[in-house]
Amino acid sequence: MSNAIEVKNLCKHYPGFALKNVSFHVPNGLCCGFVGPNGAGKTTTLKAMLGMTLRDGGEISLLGKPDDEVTVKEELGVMFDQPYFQEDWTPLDVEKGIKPFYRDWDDGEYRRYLSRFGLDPKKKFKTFSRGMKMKLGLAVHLSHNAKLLLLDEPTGGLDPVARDEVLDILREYMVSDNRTILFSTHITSDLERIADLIAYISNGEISFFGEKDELTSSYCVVRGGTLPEDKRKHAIGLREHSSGYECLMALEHIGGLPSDTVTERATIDDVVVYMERRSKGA
Amino acid sequence: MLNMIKLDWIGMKVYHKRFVIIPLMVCFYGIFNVPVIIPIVAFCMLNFSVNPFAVEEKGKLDNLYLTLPVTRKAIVNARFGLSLLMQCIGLAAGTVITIILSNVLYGRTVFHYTHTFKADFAVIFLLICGSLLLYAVMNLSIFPILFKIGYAKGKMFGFIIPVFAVSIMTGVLFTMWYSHNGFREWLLSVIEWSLAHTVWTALILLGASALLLAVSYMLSRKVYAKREF
Repeated sequence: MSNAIEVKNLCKHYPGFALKNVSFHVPNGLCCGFVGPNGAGKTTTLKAMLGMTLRDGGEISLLGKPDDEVTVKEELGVMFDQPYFQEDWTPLDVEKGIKPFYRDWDDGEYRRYLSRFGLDPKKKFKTFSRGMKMKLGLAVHLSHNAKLLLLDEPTGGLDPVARDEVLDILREYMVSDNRTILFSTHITSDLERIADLIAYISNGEISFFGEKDELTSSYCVVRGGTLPEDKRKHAIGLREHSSGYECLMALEHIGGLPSDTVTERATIDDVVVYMERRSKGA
Repeated sequence: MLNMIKLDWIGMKVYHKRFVIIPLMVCFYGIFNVPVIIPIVAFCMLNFSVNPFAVEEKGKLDNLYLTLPVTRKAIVNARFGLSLLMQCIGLAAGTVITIILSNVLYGRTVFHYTHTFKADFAVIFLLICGSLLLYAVMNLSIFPILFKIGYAKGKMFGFIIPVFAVSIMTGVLFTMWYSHNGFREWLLSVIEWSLAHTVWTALILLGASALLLAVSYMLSRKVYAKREF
């Protein structure tokens, strides 16, 4: 399977922050969740992939082409926290302005999506709710047949209904062959629903990259009264309190814990939270 | 490039209504002083063509462009293209307004001022060349700064100060014209020489304008290629 995204040793230095040899790849046809705390480097990585920020080192290729090849963007759909449309634009203005840049633009498809998403073509962008704005952005990218979607917090700030609708659109998008999504988010429950892979970035470095199930099935949350000394070194993000302790632990290390210990399968959220706690010295 | 120019134009949709103010304002000034019409149009059109910069940060127009299949060079080309196009349209419209008003007002007294300006080809041609030089100077002092740091950070040094400086210089010029006989005579002699040597004057003005615009364009491309978003 060829890769839709290949990032190799991406470096970018800012005062007080750096992306350090970020590497990951997303095969065609898969959805990769890009997670990590605020300021970990998710948006910087996405911006570097688009040439919005200039990298200090490393290589990026998208859909098999180097990222600096302009034509690659014809097959790309990009959305940061909301689409980059002017407040006074209507969906018709968006069509007028954006359409000429895409060879595969389909007018009929665009109108169908507007109608399906309940977007009035003559209403100004500023009057749309956040959910509607995201849907308009998705309508644009679906109408030019984007093969790869790069989304930065697309469901942030949406109410549960709008979030569910956006996720449904993304799931539907993935049904066609060879369509790929890189989806950065804080809302890891969204990833539980649509992601195949997880790239976890912390402090400018990729801490985990692999299948979602591998991430969640490799760890469990452990709670108990007293943590045996020999298990301390395996405890990730250990927190001790008056009634006991809680931590994340790799499955291979849970054998031999006292009988009063409770173990639960870890969610993506658990992994992120405990690993972050560890990186902060807990 | 035409698609980018079109997108720049659509991008500043919020300012389109203000476009109609320009001919009204120019005609208003023209009633008092016909020869200033063309330079004022050049000045106004340059200001108007800065609008894509003004909307870029609020609506993140540049970020949108960088998600489209276009190069950074194409973005700079389009913004210069739109500005030059608007300048040409402005100068053409200013020429028409100047010819009409000079014919209508010639010999008439309006607000205690008797119009003595009669537009002929040489004068209009030199006014256009001079206005292009004004445009090129302003372009060089505005565009590279706005391309480097954007309108929000750069508007003081990259817009307000150059516009203010030109306004002050114009005011000083008019004050000296009316109050300083020596200066008026010197300027008249320069104008007479220019009218007597139209081709040379035009070549000097156009050459200087082309040079300044080329420097502005090269600088803009260089700084925009390195800008971080």
